[in-house]
Amino acid sequence: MLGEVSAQNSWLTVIASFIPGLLLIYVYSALLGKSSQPFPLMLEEHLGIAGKVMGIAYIIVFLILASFYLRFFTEFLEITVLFNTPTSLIILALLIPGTYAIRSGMEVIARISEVIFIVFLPLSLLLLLTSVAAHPDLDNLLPLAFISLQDLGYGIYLNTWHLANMIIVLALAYFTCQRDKLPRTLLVFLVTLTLYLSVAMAVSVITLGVAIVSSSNFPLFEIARSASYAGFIRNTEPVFVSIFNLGIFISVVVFWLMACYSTQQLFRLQDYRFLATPSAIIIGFHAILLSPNTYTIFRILRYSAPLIFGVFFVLIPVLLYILLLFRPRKVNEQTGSGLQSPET
Amino acid sequence: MMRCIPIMLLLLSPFILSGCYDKLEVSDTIVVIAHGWDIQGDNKLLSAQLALTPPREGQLQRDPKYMTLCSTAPSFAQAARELSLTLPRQPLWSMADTIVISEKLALRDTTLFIDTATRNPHIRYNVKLFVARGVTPAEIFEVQVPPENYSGTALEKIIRIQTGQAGIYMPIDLKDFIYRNSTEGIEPVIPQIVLESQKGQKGIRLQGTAVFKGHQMVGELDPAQTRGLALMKSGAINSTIFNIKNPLIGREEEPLKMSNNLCLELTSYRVKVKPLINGSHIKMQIVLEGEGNIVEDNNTSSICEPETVQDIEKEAARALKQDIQMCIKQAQGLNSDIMGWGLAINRIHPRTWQKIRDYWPEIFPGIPANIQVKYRLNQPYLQKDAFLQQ
Repeated sequence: MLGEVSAQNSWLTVIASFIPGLLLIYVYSALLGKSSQPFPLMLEEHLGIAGKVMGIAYIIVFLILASFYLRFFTEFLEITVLFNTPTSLIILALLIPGTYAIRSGMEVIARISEVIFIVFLPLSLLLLLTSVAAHPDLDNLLPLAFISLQDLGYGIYLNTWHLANMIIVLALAYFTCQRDKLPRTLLVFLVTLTLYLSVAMAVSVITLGVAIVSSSNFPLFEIARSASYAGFIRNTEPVFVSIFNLGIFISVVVFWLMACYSTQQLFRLQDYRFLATPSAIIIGFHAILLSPNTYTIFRILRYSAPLIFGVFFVLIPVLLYILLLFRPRKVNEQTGSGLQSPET
Repeated sequence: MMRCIPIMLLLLSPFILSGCYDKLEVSDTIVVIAHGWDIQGDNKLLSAQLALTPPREGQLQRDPKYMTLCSTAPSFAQAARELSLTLPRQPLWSMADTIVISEKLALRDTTLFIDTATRNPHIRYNVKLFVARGVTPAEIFEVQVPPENYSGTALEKIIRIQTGQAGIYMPIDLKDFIYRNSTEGIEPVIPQIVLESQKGQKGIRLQGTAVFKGHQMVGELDPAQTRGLALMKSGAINSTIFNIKNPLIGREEEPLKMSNNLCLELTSYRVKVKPLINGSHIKMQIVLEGEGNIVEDNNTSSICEPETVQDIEKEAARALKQDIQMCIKQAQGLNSDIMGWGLAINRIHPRTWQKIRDYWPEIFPGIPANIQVKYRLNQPYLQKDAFLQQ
């Protein structure tokens, strides 16, 4: 999709989206610094009843995004490797470990994420870089930076929604022991993500060329499918699919967890873990009902998903931050803020 | 109770193992070595070379080692599925390394196969493409190419190995073809194969390159022109071999023959193709720097003198330049930008390209090329001079 918009300069738009990423970190850090309650309770803390209503809207958004990621995952598998497997079974295959992970608690998910990150990042980078080694055409990246402002803006807009995943820090920050170091951690995350995405885009363009990248549903899968390492390691798509599955699992589970956690917070429930099973049913059914076909999924990915991310994860936090600039509020010292541990 | 739930879920999980729906028993499948795309009237004709199961250990190899099946339908996908009406096994299309396109189809319209090539998850981008000139793909698949068991495998090996031997044809895979087909300022080419008779037996031979313009084959390059094309892309071939007239003997206008020839090889080369734009005047600058060795000398004159070496280098450069010129002349004659000059302009002068892209078919045939070739002689192998030199 990005290749369609910004062609050979896709990787540059990813790097350019570092700037809105920095802005997001600044806004999220500022919100954490001014709030005693984790997200979405911080909305209620600052906006009262309107914040509570918005909090409920966020629960729905988290559920929608979890089911969207889940459906995207199933579409990917059905298009690429599991052609005949029913959608519902693939959904179940992901929901079962997801339910188990959420029931085990946030700490378990954090540990899983850590392990997946350590496996995912080096392995996928290795796969990308070895793929490009066979027949690289660096000239495919030319003409460099020849892009209209409109396309650049649209490219940055499409990238920013990946970066806006950082919003979960507004809730998770309150669980960390070193809250004051969060902005630095977020910065490391931003650098890693932008570098990773830009390398992935650049490798796609160098290996396949702009025209193929633009028309293909999964260019990285095409690279893995046609890769040949030293002439004898071929058919590497199962490795790629396994790596992709790990990333998708985390994407689904994190938004799912956020939906459960937000529900617990907003409705003052004792725990969020028991919500895993009922929410799994909602997410599973919604993933199936979301779209009758793959075409609609790709239209959602292109038009609706960036809009949802843009409004709920960028626009609303930015507006809240602006509001708080004019309406300063003292943080409860007993609970501390998102950037400051409570006084003991 | 709470502990039972995950255990129950785990126990249930084998029943929903998604892979079972896509399972394929080896005994129910057959490996596709190559497939061919052709047309027959208003239908598409798909042919497939399928590998028959090799004999078990201790058993003698029985012929045939392969079978060729053909199927006709309005679409290649349907033709492939309709093979199941006669074939008791499921073809593994993704195992194919070679696709042979008939000349008839290439002359008609490449869009007739380009969609199935890109949409079908069983066709890989690294599969090698060939155009069958004057024959059908099925006829190619029926040819025996010893020592290979299958002509499909043989084709893939021939095109790969010749890049370091004869060094004429650059292998074109599906990705290259789609890239050239869908990118502005560059047109596709595909190596051609023909059938030839050797001692009463049919054999296959790489012969010429099919040239496309847009979605149609418009002509071909002969082997010398094809080498010229390969020389304009660094790394397209690993090495090549060519003959020049020995500068020490014979008159300049005398044709190249057995007695006056000096056989050289080009072992490595670098080429830079750069558009020079001066106002509305476009000129292509092609600078090739290569090096190689003397492989065979058919006369007795001494060739180790520095002046002679220089003369040989000049003559070699002239020969390579001639191939490039012939390729350019043919491409411009066919009005097909197979060298990718338009793409080169787009990459280096994108603004100029924006202005001329619509008129490129009118501009391209008239673009002059300034070709500079430098050839450096490296070594004479095991002889320091001509063996019979007195």
